[in-house]
Amino acid sequence: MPDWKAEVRKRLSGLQLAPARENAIVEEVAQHLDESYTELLASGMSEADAYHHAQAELYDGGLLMRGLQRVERSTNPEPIVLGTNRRTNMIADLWQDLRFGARMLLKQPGFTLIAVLTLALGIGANTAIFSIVNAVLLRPLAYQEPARLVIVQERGEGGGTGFSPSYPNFVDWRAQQTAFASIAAVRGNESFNFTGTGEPERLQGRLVSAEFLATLGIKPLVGRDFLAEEDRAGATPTVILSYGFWQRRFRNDPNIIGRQLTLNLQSYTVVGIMPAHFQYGADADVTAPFGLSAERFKNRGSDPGTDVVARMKPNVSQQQAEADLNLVAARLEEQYPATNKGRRVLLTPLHESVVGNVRQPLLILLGAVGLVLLIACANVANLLLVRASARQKEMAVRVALGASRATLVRQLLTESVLLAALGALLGILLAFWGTSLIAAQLPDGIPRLQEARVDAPVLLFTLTVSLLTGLLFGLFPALHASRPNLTEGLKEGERGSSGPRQRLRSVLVVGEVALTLTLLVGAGLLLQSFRRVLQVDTGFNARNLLAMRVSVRNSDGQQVANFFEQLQQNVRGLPGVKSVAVSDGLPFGRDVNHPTFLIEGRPVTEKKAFGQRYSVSPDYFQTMGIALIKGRLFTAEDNRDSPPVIVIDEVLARQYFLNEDPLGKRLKQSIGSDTPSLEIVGVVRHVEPYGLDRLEAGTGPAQFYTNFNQTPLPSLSRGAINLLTRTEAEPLNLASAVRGKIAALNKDQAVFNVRTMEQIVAQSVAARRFSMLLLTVFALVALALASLGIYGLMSYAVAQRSREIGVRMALGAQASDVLSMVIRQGMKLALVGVTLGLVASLALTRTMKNLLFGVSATDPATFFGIALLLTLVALLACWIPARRATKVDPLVALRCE
Amino acid sequence: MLDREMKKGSAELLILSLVETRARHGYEIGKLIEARSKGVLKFKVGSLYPLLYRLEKRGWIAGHWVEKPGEKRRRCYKLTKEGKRVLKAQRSMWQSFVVAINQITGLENA
Repeated sequence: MPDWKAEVRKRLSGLQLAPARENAIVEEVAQHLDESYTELLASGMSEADAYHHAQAELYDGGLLMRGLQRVERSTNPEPIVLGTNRRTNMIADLWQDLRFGARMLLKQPGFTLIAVLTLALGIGANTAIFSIVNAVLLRPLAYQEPARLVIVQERGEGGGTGFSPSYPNFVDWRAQQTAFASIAAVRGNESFNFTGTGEPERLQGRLVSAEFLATLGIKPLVGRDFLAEEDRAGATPTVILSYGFWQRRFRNDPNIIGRQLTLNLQSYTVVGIMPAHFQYGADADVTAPFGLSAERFKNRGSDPGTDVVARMKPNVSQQQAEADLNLVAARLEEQYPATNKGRRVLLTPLHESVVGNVRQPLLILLGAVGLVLLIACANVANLLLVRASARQKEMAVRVALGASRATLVRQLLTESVLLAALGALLGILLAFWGTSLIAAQLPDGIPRLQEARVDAPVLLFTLTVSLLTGLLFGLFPALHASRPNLTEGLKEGERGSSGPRQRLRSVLVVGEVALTLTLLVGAGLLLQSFRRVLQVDTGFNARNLLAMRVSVRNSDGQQVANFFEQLQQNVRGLPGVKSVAVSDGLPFGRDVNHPTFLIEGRPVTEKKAFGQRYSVSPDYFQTMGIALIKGRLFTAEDNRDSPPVIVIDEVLARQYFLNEDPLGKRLKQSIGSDTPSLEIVGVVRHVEPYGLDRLEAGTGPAQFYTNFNQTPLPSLSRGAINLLTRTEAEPLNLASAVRGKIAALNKDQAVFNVRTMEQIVAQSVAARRFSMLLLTVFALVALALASLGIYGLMSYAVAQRSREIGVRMALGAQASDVLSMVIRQGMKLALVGVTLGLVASLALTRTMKNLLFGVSATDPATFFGIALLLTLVALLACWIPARRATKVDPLVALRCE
Repeated sequence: MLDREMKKGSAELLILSLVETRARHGYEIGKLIEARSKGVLKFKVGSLYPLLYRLEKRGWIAGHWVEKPGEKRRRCYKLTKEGKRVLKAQRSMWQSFVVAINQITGLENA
């Protein structure tokens, strides 16, 4: 019987089938030939003929071979040809690299966890801060073609900062300008008392000229915009409601258009509803035409806080527009020399004016998180370098088997990008949480913050950052690891000298220390500033002081005075109340008047004297805790029938009565010639006017106090009065009792802004507190990472040198010698890092000069203190491995080699 | 002379039909085709086995080794569920093809 199996196998050899498959086919086909052969014999054919017959069927011009090749090809894996690295399939290679990388990472879960967490922290913090930067600084304003929008202000002839123009100037600009497609006036922080429908409510309002919405390119959601004829004195009052107010009070009822609302006891017709997400300046429930109040703003000389926003015509540059409007300003100067002398205009892009104040702190925070990410990268790179040492043998084996350097680098980079991707994934989760956390912590007054979210541009940023991160921390270790020393790497138990690798790790640690020091110095300077800010003497006692605003809607000054007189008496009777007072303005508030004044008997100078004027009840000083320096305070005897008196602060006394006694002198508010002259009866402490950190010490404006009971204020018929209650315990506990007293006197009386004076003070430093806290957190994270870096490096160095240390100790070195040797090695790196960091800090802290208060950007104490702190932490990080080195048993160390 | 595709298609149909009722090994299939077609159709090793393997790979037939006492083990093929579906479709297609050809060539009335 012929050996058909051998015959078939020979035929199939060219197919390179998997051995098992080949055996199965050989067996089956051989059996077929067997049977065929047997049958041919049985039919009487000779053995030779039968053999040739069967063999011919098998050969048959290679039919079997071709048929099998076609069928079996797709199951046949690519032949593995050793010793070549031809790139055959990029996707398959990448997939293989990824799977291999994932297996390697899973094999060392500890390393992977630490690396991923470190990266997630860095990438997450970057994503969170970037999402805020993106929302606040980068995203264009939500108006039509926002690049053409500018804010128009006035300035003095010589330049300088801008200030709000007066309404009459705006009206003339609007009539005479040619450079703008439209120009509009807007005044926020107006208030309206809403009565007649349900509970009375104090509404935030905004006055706008008729062109306002058109200038921004916004259309009302429902209804229409204001008409030009509605924007003048004496017109029928109309109003546009905010979406939120419409939703809250009218449940989105579209039939509200055309209805009448009672605002400030006047009937307004609703003409429109703002779009849901419309935002401009301070929030406003209602928007009313500016012109209705033109009478209030008729004074061309004073600046009542009218903002002007304008849309430049296409193809008109900001310079051209400014020059054009300056021509108008020059004409007005000729026409109204008394008020408009030297007045010119200043144009600022709207975007700049919205975000200008927060750009710097946000960019500094972004820079800070960038540094944190760099430090995280350095740490992970260090971990990878350690791992590369451990994998030296693996690399050597792969090179010996024919892997090229490029293959190894590609594999290692895939691993590090995989790490970065995992870090990014976790980091995005952190950022989702972190963005809302940071946004909630951020103080009021940061524009557009509510728009901050992790969206597509932010994710793109994260993707880019994590890819770069993966390449950054992976590249150097990969380049190093892929150049293994074959002879040493393949020897069992050989540790390898790995000199260059150790040097690279040292460089990384030095860099980490330097970056950390920079961050710490930045945070330290902010901390110092914050401490100084909190030490600022406000001039009043904020503790146990309740403040609330009570709206005034009554043109009869006497009735208003009587109401508040009665109210004070009633509140004073509440248990737990020490004293009660009213005032028209409060320190740190925006509602304080800054009128000019004259001192009787002095020549009128070119430069007018001006100061802050508070109209207060006699108990104000006692309630606020403002100390009397000289003379007397107001008393109950100072009333409408007695001669009008005034109390001034120490700044006014110093500025205008340097060498004389101010008591008995007379002061006159110059606005309106009929104002009475007031006798100075007392001098009190100066009060910080705008906030804890707004002014350098001693630069505040002069302040003076008029008696609420003596001088009826024009502003009393409008606006609101502060009711101040000094309490024995927690002031907010008394808030509802005080409100009850107000409601008992007048149930339609709107009360708002109920808060403690301590809250007002804290609010004024909230932004500072926020950037200080965030930078401190980043700096501490950096410190932790950097000390881990030093610790890791020294631990590894000690482990590597254990034999050398063993030999030294065997030769008589003392534990203290070893200790100092290791510490010296580590501290050398730390000190180089600290030195470099100090130099970098000197350069970088200059950028944050504007954020500092009472401390210079190169404050030696901060620089020295931080350097010392970092050195001590580094010392600790070296000391732990150094102590371990002293525990090396010479016998063990020598034997284990 | 049958054209290449038709030959291939009909060969598939033949094999599927033969293993429909019981499992058969390759030699048996080859012999049955030769015998039932009275020698008109004949499979050679080089075309039969690649075809079997292709059908097996498509999941239309399933092969498994069967051992009987005193004999060498053989690989037998059986129609799968999927194979049954394909056979049914191919059979009806083939029948309508034959009917159509017959109608045109007039063999029906001959």
